[in-house]
Amino acid sequence: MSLKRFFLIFLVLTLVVFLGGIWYGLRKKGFFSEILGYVFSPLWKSGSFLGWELKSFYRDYLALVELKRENEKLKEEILKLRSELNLYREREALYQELERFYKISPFLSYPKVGARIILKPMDPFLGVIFIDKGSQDGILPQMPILSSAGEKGLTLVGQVVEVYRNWSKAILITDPSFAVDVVVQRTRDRGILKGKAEPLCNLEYLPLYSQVQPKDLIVTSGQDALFPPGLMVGEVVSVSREETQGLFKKAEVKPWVDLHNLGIVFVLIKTPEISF
Amino acid sequence: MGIKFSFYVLLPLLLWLFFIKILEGTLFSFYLGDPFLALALVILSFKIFSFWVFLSLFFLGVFKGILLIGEIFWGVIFVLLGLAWEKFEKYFKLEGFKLKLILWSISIFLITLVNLFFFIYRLKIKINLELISSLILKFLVYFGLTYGWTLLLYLVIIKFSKLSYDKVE
Repeated sequence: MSLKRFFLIFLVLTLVVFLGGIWYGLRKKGFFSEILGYVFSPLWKSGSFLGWELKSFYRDYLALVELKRENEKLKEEILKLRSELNLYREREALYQELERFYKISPFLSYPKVGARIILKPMDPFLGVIFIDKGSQDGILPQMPILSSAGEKGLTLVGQVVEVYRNWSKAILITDPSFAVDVVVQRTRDRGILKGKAEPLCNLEYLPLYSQVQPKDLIVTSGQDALFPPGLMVGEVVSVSREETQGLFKKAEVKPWVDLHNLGIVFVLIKTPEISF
Repeated sequence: MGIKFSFYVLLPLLLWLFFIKILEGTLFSFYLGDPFLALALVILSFKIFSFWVFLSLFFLGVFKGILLIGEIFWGVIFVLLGLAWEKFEKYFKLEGFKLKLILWSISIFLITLVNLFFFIYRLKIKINLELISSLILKFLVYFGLTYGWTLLLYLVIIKFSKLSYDKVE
């Protein structure tokens, strides 16, 4: 490669990085994500929809097909009815999810926006999801993302990191850059919960005298000004002493949210409350 | 490798890979490897280091970055990988399939290391033995799946574009 060509590529790369950095610094979002995301977000939505439909089709029908060979016409009729039923079930599930969420969330005075997960890139080193709501729905970076965990309560899913016009990118609580101030519900000991791109999260900086035990519930403390207090996070799986810092205990926490089967989430329209 | 090749072969493949990545989380619910890196390595295997190739590499990196975090970071990493291949071609001559297999291994290994450094940079907890063993496992999974993708895409491109092993129309 000639020196001139190398210099040209180097110059272009530097320019791209510089302009990209300025763009990110000013708008807190990626330049290419802004453009390509606008083009591809309908594809993500339809792809995600297709994925869920194929999954439910496989779950609901394919297993039954071999058992029902007696009458083709009847089978077709059953399939048609089941298809309709499936549609209603989906709606019912969505309705129940929303009802449950709003029933158990009155203590959260912040407005909430329901959002569908349109893309779940699986990566061994990260925990990221894309949701179908963006700046036009009032979403801003750092807003908490919640989900209902059955009758247990509201559980923390993650945090919005990048917001575009009609979609947003969020990190899950298992992402290595995620951290939240939490409290052990039974003992009231505070600690910091951090993700590590694994199914379990680390709970660090627990006081040495803490009586925390496996199965203890972990909830948000609200002290970090980002997340409201009282949100369920998970339960303690194991407790040990910090190897390097003898003043603290640490624990492993299993998040309550089922990240694999997560389809609908709620974004809390809450900006960080920074007080000095 | 010009606009025609990019339009008829690379673009459909890229859209197909993009669609697989979309279905990955909802339908399969498990990690399927890094097809964008695999496609980049297959492009580089044809030993043509034109402007279009570098542009394709940059956008493949951007696509990888959009689905994760750090779009321009990955775009630049992919271009740097292309420059390294060009340098290698200049001194050692890329002949034979075996050498390509070795170069793919080295490239995937290096990109996995970049992934790992990016992970450690973002990580907020201390690294212990348990985490290291988990990282080794992830490293192997990433390496194996991406290598598989590279072989598959190489065969697909050879088959469908009627290219010889070392020539591109």
